[in-house]
Amino acid sequence: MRVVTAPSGVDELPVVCFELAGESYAADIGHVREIIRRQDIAPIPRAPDFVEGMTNLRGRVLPVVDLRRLLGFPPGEITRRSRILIVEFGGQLLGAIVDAVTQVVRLPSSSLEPPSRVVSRVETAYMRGVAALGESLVVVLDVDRVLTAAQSKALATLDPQLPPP
Amino acid sequence: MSAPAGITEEEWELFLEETREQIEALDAAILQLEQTEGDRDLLRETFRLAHTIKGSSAAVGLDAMTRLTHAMESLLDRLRGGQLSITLPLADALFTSCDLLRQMLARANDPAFDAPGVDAAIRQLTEICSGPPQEAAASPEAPAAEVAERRAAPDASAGPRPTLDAGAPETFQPPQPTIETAHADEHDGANRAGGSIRIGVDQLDVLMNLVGELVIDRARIEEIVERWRASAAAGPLGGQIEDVCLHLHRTLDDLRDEVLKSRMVPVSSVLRRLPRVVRDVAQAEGKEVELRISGEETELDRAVVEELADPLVHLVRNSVDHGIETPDERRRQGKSPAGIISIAARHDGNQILIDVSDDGAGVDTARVREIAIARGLIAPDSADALPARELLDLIFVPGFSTASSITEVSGRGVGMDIVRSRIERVNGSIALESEPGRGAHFTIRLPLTLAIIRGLLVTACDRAYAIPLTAVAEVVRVARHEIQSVGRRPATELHGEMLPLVWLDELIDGPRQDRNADAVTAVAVHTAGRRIGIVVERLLGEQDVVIKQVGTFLGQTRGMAGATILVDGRVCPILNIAGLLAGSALTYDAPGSADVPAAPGTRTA
Repeated sequence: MRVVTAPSGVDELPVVCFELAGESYAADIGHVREIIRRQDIAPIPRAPDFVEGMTNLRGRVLPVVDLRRLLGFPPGEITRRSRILIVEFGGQLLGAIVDAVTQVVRLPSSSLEPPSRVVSRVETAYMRGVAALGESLVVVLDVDRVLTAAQSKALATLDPQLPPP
Repeated sequence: MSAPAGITEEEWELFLEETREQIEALDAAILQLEQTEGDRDLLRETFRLAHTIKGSSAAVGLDAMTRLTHAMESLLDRLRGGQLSITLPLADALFTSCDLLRQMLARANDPAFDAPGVDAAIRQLTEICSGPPQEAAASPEAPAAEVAERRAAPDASAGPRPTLDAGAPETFQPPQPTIETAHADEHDGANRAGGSIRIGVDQLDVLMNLVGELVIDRARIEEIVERWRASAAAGPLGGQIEDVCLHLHRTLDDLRDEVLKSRMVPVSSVLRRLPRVVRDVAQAEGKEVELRISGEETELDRAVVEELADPLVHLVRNSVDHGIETPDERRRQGKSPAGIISIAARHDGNQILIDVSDDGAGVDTARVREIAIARGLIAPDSADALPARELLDLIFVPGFSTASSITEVSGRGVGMDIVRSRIERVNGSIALESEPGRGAHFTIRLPLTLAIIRGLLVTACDRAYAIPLTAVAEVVRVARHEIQSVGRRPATELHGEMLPLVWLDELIDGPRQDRNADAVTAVAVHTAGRRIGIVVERLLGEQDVVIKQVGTFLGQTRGMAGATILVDGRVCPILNIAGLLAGSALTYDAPGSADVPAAPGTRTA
């Protein structure tokens, strides 16, 4: 993993770049607490398919989602490059599995183009924008929106019947 | 949550919590006044409670509350002075005021909230207060007839009386409750100097979490030490380390017990609400009911107590409404005109048992059968074969209590299925026994705490799962030839009864284990009076399970009551068996799994 620093003085967006199904994505680093290697994940009985399970992060039990499934990609293989992004969402931590983490870069805000479906299969509602990174394009995800959608899906499938405590 | 200007968040929280307790105490005191006419001490206490609430609500600027308690106080003052005596309209006016106080407190964070009916209630209190003094009082001009009339007059000016269900019990828990650690006399609102302090429940949660961490670490250390002792030349150091471990083990057990104890509150905090519920429902239904409560000093985890409140109110309501007959009907049956509802709480090992029983009509099983068939919960032909216990259990099945069984009083959309799921959510269980004409008896079983439970560790699909021990009846080994097919689902005979079998791998939607094994291990669990054998891959044993919160991202997962971390660091789900079963295709007459082998001698339906 290399850390690229763009010339300072410009308005920048630091992002974590990662791979999903062969495409390049990025997430605002403000959402990402840490990046860990893929570790044991206990399945949750009857959870929606995008929920991979639960994992132990230094004594805390965090739910883990599969970002591939969440965005509608076919399930992927677990490789040595697989990572779990520990993201903060709604004041809580959760894990998101990605195929690989490639780099942490600062994107000049000016390079961020509006979302477009040309570069990715992901719904534009989940994108913050598209940016050129060297020779290729990277899709900057709107992590909050992706997870909000996931949560409402999870809540709908998991237990529609119980009233709130 | 937001404190009004000029008040710190902490003061505000303290106000909310203390006032909530004082309103409950006031309500209980009024009920006692009504029932016993009250001695001077009780009157003084009731007055003092209203006075305290008046003072503290004025201090935080809740004007409507101050005005209402002022009117209550004036009335209570006249009661205390003997110028007035307790009548039904007077008690009703005070109860209505208590309900309003609850509502106002529940919405205290909303400055725009204006409780409807406050002015009407104040008017009514003032009216009663300024009414002609009674003959018993010092003023001689009170005509006795008028007093009698006042006593009997139904009070039309009261306006609609907010019922207990109308939001109050659901919402009046303050966001940051605190526990009085030393369980000082709850009627004593003021903090006494007797060495007790208030601690936020969240702080106790943090402590408990840390203890949980240590319990897991202890298990890991002990395992490492054991391996080290067995393998290497540990020498004299080995003995020393074992001593330290032993001491650590004992100290940590003590620490855990002490922290658990600090989270305990007497069950009376929820039982206190019930006399009022019984009074209101009985009055509305024209029934006479005597409520007997015992074991209210039994202590359990605050979090469990909170989950218990609504189910108990519902059960008691239900008993008065559906269980207890009218006085006439009871006389005809040779019973005393007043029905009896008993609530008894007691410890049973590391569980709490709460019995809710009545001497009413009992549950009409024929009617249950009818409703269950009408709602499509059971097939008409299989209905006859159901044993009475399973039939009774149907009232806990989602979809059983709907339209026609919901009455003004007991319904409100909360069915027995919700009662059961609320109790099972805290790893408890509920069962019903009933004898027609003799009454109904609910048994609620709860763990002492939500922080650490005893669990049975099992595996399915090569992964560990914990089953709360409260749900486990026994573990049996079932040989292949003992598995029969009953009503197209696999079952085996246990103690003369058929035990339906379900494979855990199927319940968790995992890959199926070998169905042709010579014998299987089944964990017999009871969920609401019904027994089911959960076939597991392997049994790992019984152990203390530290319950970890998984966060709210996934909401309330049906099949899981939480998670724990095993000695090897892996996460292990704690199963909610009832939730798993409810979500599965296993209903009363669904065909059993197709890949269950037809064992020799199997009846195939």
